[in-house]
Amino acid sequence: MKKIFTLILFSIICSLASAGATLSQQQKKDIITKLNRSSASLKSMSASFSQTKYISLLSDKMVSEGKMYYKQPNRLRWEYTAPYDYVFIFNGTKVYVGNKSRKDVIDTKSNKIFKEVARIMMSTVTGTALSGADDFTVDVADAGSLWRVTLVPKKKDMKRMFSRIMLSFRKTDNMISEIDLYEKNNDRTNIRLKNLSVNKTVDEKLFTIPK
Amino acid sequence: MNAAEPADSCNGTLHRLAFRIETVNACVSGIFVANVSDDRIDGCMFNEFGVSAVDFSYFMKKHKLKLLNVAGFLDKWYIRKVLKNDITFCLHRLFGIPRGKSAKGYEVTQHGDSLTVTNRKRHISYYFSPLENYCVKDDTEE
Repeated sequence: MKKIFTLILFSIICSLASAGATLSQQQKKDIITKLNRSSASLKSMSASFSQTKYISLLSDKMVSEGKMYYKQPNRLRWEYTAPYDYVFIFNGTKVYVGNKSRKDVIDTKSNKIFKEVARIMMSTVTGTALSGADDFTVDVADAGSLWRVTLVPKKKDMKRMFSRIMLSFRKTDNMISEIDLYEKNNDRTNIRLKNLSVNKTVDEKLFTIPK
Repeated sequence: MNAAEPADSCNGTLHRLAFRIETVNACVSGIFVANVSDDRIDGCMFNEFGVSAVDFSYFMKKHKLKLLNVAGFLDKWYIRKVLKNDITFCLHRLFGIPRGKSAKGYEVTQHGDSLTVTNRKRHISYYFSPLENYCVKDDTEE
């Protein structure tokens, strides 16, 4: 009996330790301000990424990999290299999507879906989504070496796509390290950023929309 | 995967294909994953970013397809109706299901392992091709 009690106590302590300390409202506010300040100072960024889509219906996952580049104020290149080639470039008003068989240039003024996709990708990667109080309800949790921010969409269009978005920031430099997109059908897409390079020169040509 | 491979030879296995759906003024591309078993096919279609477009279950004996989840921008009764019919036809062609849906109103082209199905009335084309060099990596969680 004593052994069982010790085991239960040990597992409770472990789970509490991994969950990190509970944060007060003021602490949460301070962390969000800190993360916002960090995202505001972000001029450019590049990283490689690994994206895993967890498919609930099939209990399966799909892994893809690639590279991303960002440059202020609103330029993003999201490039998949495996298992498929797919390039997504957003340069403010236009989106380019291209693969082996098709290349399209889409005006975001006339295509709301691509505008939303571009906005979500950019705001989550750079962390600016935290400051969009109109778009999300924001909550922060301490997760050991990370700050875990949960965004619950407020707007109808976004609600139709995601039930919540979770962003993980490294405590050491307040930079984003992981993005989790939760869908209504219980699917989840996890994006892990690796080899992050911040505020270094990113070639402007990467954001040029091919003709 | 050979698009015309019979369903019996791939029971309980997962198939991963690249897909593209083209209409007159729109295009959706991404990945199509299907689990084919003796009595049903469960399938998901999602875009390159991982955002789900359609989830469905197809029941072999009844030749019926049930749409389980449809992305907001496609979730209109008239789109669901067309999708239901067209995906059913595509499944019959992809997995060689016997006594499949009539090809009336559809145009089917096969180039090697790639399959193209066109709904002539609605001017919608469905392209499927195998995902090359795909392997599941174990360096991710879960």
